[in-house]
Order: sequence, then structure tokens, then C-alpha cells
Amino acid sequence: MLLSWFNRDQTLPETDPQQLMQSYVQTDKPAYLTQLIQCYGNDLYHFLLRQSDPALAADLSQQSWLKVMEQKQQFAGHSSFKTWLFAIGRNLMLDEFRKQKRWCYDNQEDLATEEYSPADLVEQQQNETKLQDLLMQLPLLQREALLLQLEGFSVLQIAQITTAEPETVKSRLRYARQALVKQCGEHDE
Amino acid sequence: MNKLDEKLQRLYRQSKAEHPMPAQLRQQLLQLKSEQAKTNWTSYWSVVQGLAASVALIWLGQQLWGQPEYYQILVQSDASYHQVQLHTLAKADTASRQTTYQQRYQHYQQARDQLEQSNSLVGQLSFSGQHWQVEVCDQLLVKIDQLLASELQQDLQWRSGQWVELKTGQQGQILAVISGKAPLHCGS
Repeated sequence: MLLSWFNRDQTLPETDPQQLMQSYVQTDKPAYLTQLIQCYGNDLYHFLLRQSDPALAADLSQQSWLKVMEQKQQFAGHSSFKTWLFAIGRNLMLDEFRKQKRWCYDNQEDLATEEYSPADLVEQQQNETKLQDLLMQLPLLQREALLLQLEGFSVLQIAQITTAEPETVKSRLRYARQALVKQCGEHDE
Repeated sequence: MNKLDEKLQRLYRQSKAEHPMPAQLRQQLLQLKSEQAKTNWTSYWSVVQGLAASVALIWLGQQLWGQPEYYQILVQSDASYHQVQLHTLAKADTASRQTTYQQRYQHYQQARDQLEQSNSLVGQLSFSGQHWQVEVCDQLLVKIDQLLASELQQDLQWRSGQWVELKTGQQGQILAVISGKAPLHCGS
């Protein structure tokens, strides 16, 4: 009993990410943050990687977790921790894209799928299809929405992360799927 | 779930499995975390250091400026007065200024004893432009240097023409300058 009293700081009974974050906010114990990094580190990195490159994804991941540490008091718990984390990562990525002028955010909404020559498509079908190959042919906002959906976020959560209306998110997802169906030669139900 | 969804899900899982967060990045994140904890502690330590330094500075300041080190009276001859005295207060070096509470208490006791055995002179204050001086009839001129004057003025602000009473110790040193109760009547 005495031993457990001494070790009470080490015990972290919370497994729910929401509770982990609340505990981290209240106690500032790094052990809670470690668990959150273990839970969502890979997810965030993959989300960023699929829209950038390994170096930038690593840098943005690091910045995102730093923001979590610095702005933990701003986590109000209105959304899930994962939604909040991805929103942070997404905003940092947008900032970086704006700096690099890789993405003019406001002008991308109505862009259609990039046109690929028949030769490109044949060559692609002959090769093993990779996720990145499919995604790279989508406009960024559609790609982003699709990635978030594949990550398990609901339309509402995607709307929170991307600060868009749920209907807009639905449209992006629909266009993305149509483009992929066309590309893969498959038919949506 | 249609074929496209199945394919996307499969490719997504495959992509995530192939591209986990690099071990180096994970390590960096854990270091960030520990550095953050360290930073918090460091900032507390800085505050403690700052407070300690401030306390030490205040204490040193009190030691430096709160404790006169030695007192000097220069007796000069003058055509107008029987005697001219220049009273000066000088500070010693830092090391010797650091007195303990007991030493300061002893000084206080000595000063009290001296005051009890003190002599008294009544004169008129004036400021020569260089230092304050007290003219006791035309017999004695007591010049007081600036440092000693500032020490003595802590309880009473001087003004030229003011009648004051000098409390002097056994060695003739000025212990206090208080308001003169009555104008001086010079006998001779």
C-alpha cells in the first residue's frame, strides 16, 4: 500500500484519449502526453505525409505536438482530442503551403480533377496501384477530405477540422469518389 | 461497402503500415516533452535565482550604505574663527562592511552610550556651496561633508539659517543634529 502511494504519480489509469488530454491539462504530467503521442503520432504523421513529403510531415508533426503542449489550456473538450490535433496539424500545413506558395487555398475549391493523358493512365493501371498515386490526382481539398474520412472521421468532424460546412465536405467527398471511380474504372454503387 | 471503398480502405491501411512515424521523430517528440518539463523547472529555478540575487543585493546595499565605517574630524586654523572643524564620513571597502547583527547591535549600544554622555552645541546652519556648516558664535565653525550631512539629515531636513543643536560625542564627533530650541546668545 505504501509502495502504491509512492508510485501514485506513475499510475495512469486513463485510457480514453479525451480523459488523457484532460488529465494532461490539469496535471501537466508528461506521461499523459506520451500516451497521446503513442495513440495518435502515427495517424497525424501519415495524414501530413500523404499531402506533403517526409521531411515536411516530420517537421509539421513536431510543430503540431509542440502546439498541443503550448496551447493545452485551449483544449475545451468540445471536440475529440484527435479532431483538435488534426485541426492543429492541418492549420500548420496550410501555413506552410502558403509560405511556399504551393497551394492557393481560396482558389482551389472549384478545381476539377487534374487531366491525365491516356498514356499516363494506362501506365498507371499497369503498375501496382498505390494510395498516393490515386490521391495525387485529386485536388487538395478533396484529397484532404478523403484522407480524413479514411482516417475514421465523420463528416461533421471533417467539417470541424477543415472549418468548412458539412455540406461542402460532403460535396468534396462525392467529387473525390467520382474522380477515383472514373480513374479506377470502377462504378460506385 | 462498395469495391472502391474496400480498395481505398485497403490501400490506406497498407500506406499507414508502410509509413509509420519515423523512430527519430518519435524520439524527438519525447525529447521535446522532457525538455518542456525541464524548461518549466528551469523557469522556476530562474525565478528562485532572481529572488535570491535580489535579496542578496538588498542585503549588500544595506551593508554598504547603512553602516558608516569611520569618522574623521579635521581641525583647521582660521583667521575669523577660533577653530574650524571639518567632519567627514568615509566608507571602507566591501569586505569590512559586512557586519553581523550582533556587531550592529554593539554599535547601536555604543551610539546610545555616547549620546547619553554627549555634549551639546547650538549654532546656525548655512550652506557654503560645498558643504553644510554650523557657526557657533564666531568661536567655532563646524563644516560637515556631504556624506555625513546626508546621514544626519535622515531625521531632519536642513535649511540655511536654521538654528540647530549639535550633539557631539566624547571624541567630538557629531552624533546628531536637532532643531535648536532657542537662538544662541553669544557671551563674548
